[in-house]
Amino acid sequence: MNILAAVGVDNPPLDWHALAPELVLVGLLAVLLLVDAFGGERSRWAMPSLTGIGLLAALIPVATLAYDGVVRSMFDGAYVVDNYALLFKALFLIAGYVVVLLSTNYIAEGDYWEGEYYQLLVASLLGMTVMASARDLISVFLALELLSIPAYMLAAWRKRDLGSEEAGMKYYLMGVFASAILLYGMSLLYGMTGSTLLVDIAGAIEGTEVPALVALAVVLVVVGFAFKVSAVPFHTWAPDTYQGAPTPVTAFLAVGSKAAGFVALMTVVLIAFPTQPRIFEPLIWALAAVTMIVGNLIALRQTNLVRMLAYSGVAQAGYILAPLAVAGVSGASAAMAVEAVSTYLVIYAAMNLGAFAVVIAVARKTGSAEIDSYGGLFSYSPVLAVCMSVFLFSLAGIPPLAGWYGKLTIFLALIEPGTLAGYILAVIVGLASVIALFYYARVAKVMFVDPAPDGDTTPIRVPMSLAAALTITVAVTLVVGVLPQVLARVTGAETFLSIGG
Amino acid sequence: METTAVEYVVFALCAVIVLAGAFGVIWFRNPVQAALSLVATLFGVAVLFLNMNAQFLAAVQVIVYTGAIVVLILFVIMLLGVDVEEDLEEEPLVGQRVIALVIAAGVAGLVVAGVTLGGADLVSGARSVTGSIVDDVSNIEQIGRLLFTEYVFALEITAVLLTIAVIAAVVMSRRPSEVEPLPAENASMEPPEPMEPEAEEVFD
Amino acid sequence: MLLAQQLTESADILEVANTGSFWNILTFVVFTPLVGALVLLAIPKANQQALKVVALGTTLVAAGLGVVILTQFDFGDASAKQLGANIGWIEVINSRYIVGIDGISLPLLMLTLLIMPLVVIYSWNHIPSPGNPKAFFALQMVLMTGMLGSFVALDLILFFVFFEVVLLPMYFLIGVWGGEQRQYASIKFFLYTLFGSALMLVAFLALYFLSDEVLTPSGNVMHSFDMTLLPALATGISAGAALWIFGGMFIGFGVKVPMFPFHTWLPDAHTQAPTVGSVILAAVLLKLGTYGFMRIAIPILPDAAKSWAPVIGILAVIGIIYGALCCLAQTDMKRLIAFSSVAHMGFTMLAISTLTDFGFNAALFGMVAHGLITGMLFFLAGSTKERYHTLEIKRLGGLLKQAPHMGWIMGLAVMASLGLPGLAGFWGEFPAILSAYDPAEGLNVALFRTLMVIAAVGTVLAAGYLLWLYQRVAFGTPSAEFENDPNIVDVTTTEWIAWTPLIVLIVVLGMVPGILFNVTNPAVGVALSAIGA
Repeated sequence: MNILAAVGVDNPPLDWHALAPELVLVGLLAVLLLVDAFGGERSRWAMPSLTGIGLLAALIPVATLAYDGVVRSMFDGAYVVDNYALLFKALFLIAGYVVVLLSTNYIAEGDYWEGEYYQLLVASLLGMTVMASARDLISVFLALELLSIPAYMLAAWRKRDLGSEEAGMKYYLMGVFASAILLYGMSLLYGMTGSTLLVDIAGAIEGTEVPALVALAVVLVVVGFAFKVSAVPFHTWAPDTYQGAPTPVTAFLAVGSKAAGFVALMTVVLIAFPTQPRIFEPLIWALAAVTMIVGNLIALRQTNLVRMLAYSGVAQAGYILAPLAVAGVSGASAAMAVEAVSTYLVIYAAMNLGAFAVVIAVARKTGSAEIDSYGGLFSYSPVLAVCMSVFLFSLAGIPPLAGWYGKLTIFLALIEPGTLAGYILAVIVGLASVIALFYYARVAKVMFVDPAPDGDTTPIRVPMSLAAALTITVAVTLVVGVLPQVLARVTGAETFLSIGG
Repeated sequence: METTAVEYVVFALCAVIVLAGAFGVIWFRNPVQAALSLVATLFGVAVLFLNMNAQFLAAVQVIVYTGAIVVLILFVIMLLGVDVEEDLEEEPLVGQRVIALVIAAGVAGLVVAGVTLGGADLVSGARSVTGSIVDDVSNIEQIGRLLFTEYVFALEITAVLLTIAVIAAVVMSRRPSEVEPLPAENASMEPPEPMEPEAEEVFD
Repeated sequence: MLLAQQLTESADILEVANTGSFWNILTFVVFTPLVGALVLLAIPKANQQALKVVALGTTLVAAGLGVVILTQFDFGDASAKQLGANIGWIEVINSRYIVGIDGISLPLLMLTLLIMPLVVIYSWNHIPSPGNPKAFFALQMVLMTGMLGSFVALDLILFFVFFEVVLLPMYFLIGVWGGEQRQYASIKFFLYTLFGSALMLVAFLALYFLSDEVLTPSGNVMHSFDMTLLPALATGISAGAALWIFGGMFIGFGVKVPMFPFHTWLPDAHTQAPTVGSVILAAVLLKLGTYGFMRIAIPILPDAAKSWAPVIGILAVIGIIYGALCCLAQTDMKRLIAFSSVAHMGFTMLAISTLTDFGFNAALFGMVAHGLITGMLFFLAGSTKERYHTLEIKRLGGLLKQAPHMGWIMGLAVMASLGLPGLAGFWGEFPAILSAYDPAEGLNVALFRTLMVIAAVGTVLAAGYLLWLYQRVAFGTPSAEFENDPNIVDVTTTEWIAWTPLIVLIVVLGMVPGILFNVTNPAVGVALSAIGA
């Protein structure tokens, strides 16, 4: 009956419950393909709803797995479902749902293929959910490609627009380049250790006699991910891509894709390289410091809001990297770093998606993302202006908006080890936040003080789906800001690290 | 299993061919010549695989890379025309060549340092720790077993990846006008705009 | 974050218990304005009367709760943290919702509760351009929650949150309703304060990790942010680390005070802010800085405070002299008052730097007095601007002729500000100078006595610029351009209502300073218990 058994191969044990979120997504992908193929134009309207329902359905097994609370490990530990993985799966699915809400009207009203758009989106999300559980080099790499390849295409979705084509092209070339670097590092790791499992790699390179080659591999892997999370000096693709891509896709890239990059970086660094802090700590320290300073300084000079958000996203990547720069000091500091990065990613997703939601809503009226075009927004659409301020000042880390708690966890993780490097980086984070406030506040000033540039003060009609997206993101930003306890301890840093040995 | 003298000679020869081919890819101005240099590199790698007893990989390397990919590249080159000259002297970014040289030298330095400082442990000629090449079971069977046990999930993910890549490729090649003809004034190529066309233009 | 059983051997660990409930009087008073802000948001923009009534009602309800607090507060035990609660908030870092008031925070809490209704009343007919009372009042309400919260919070993170909540509304109040240079002034205010508070937060967290752990109600052994416990928990911190931590707090609070090298945001913010913004800024916001020193920095790190005290003292005196000299050079009335704030806060900081009971009492009195008097002066400046459409001192004159009541009130405020005995300002300034004669044990007496002499010179300068201001503005005859201006009227009804409480308090506190000193004195003793003074 079983072909594998017939040739003397043991059937690999499969835990269907643990795989359920991914299976639901694959099923969703199949349904979308079939509906698109047989429904044709008549089924266009159903695409966003189907996708949204599918993503929410995928959340159900995530919830049951979390309720179950058992750490499930498959394929010799290459694929692990623990709280850490579940948190990120939930984050990706919810972020994906919000992106669907952002896309609904945008894609339906533009010159786009809806069916393929949502298929690519779901495939990319599938890659992200796999990434959350991936604990060996092959799964990490495949997940990275699965989430990236649809994203390259999505960035170029506005096919007749040169800017969009440039966006897709730059993203693609830089992404492939980063993959190549990453793969080179991974192949060196495999060559040295003979295993693709991160845990085995950690064991094999512990006390290794060839530190130079280990160093090279670690550097290449970290640099490969640095492209993905747009850390300076590997950030150059981000602003052009963000500006050129359709705005919902930009939101998806800025939140989902970046978070997945961080998840991969964190997993590989903390599980495969925990014994090599001498190599990855200085590297990530320098990357983080340069990223937040340069990102913020360039963001100061932007006149386009999407571009500004892109550079602010670069700077935020610097903050998120920072805890990893001191993660190798002790087990406790690694746990705090995981908690800080996870917490910040969740909060960052809410506030950044919200900011893009406002950008999309405003562009429906003004057709522009120039900061000047936001003049007078408070006078004709006060709710949108207030929402935007909530997101921007949350990004700046002003209490009681969620961003402050994210910053606090980063400060906590940086200061806990009590090392000079940690203190200095904490002060740099503080100073960078001050610079950042300057450009966030400038947008607020334009919205609240300046007059409407064209004198047109008809209120903006916000479609239902956008309003829903705004409600979700504002609610998360406020609730987490006032009651941060809701986020605490969901990261499961301890089990994550203990699996890592 | 000791490395024999023959293996050393084969390795040295192939290494030279691989490097020479790679060098040729960037040296030749004529794209056809560059593509053919690539073939040399890929063949060299295939022989290196054979040298390491990985016959299946060697075959795949020849069939997929040389047989399919390079042929595709040549097709595209021929369709686009070989005669189109690119001005290679132009520098879109100021000082990009200098920076590229510095970075290239840096990476090369890292690799060389990595290998030389690694010392005797690395270039001892001993088999890789992997040690998965077992002579009594065929190559293909070993790979097959791995793919359908330990890496079955990765295999399935690859399937999804390929499907979605096909969809992406189809989308890329479709002309927008076949789906939704745009109004005439928008059909011409416009300078890139930061934002999407007016959202009020509802197409249905 | 180790589990309790892992550390059971250390028997002397402090235990924290949950006390009180979230729904206590302090919670009510802090969050009443926030509720008011939400109600304001629900009222349509056009219904201006309702907006004003709700705003006033909110502040009055809060003030009424303030009266309840006064009746409930046990003045016999003013050194204890009273009426509060201690319950879980962010348990993962053991940051708790700890609120409570003692003799140090009570006067400042009351000052806030007094000023805010007056500010709303004053705004009744004085909504600055570009109007929009809905947003204007809603921001003031949020601001009020932030200020009240800062004074009742006894947890470092909770304090930090309230401390920062103040920033946004103030930024918008200056940036939207301010003068011509409002953009520059508002962002400068925001950036300076955020810069300070970022370093302050780093200092808080360093303090958190370096201090001893406590046993939380949920049974974990964790570090603590509890301000009342930290003086005991922080004794093990090495002297070098303590110096750095104090330095971080010094910058955070020093920017807010503002102390001498960090003061440059203040004149711009004051000058550009709308009248009520200036009043709130002068009356309450600046006190957050000095309060931080007295509540957090000095009690928790007394030894580091001793090392820093000379620096604080010297900078304070530089502030006094520098502020006074700048006042003499000003041509704009509001800017002059702003610089006088720098000088006055210099006296307060000098008193704090002595680390003595006497100094702390003087500082607290100085804070309240400065809040009342400078608030009053900014009200007057705002009303002057409304009438004359300028604050250029050389164009003004003859106020006593054109608006005699207003002229007399200004006379009173000016006299109080320069420290005339019998008015509130005297009890802030004179004891502050006197306290430097005998600083806490271990401080350089010669240095502080020198500082005392220089500070005394500062009072002479203060008399100089204030009298000069009063003379130019109130005496003489009105200049030709304003002689028959129908805009220039005497004190209006709303102004009377807004100003009378301030005038009364300035006089009463000047005559009977004991009512305040009796409250502050016991609490100050506790704050300084580690100094041994």
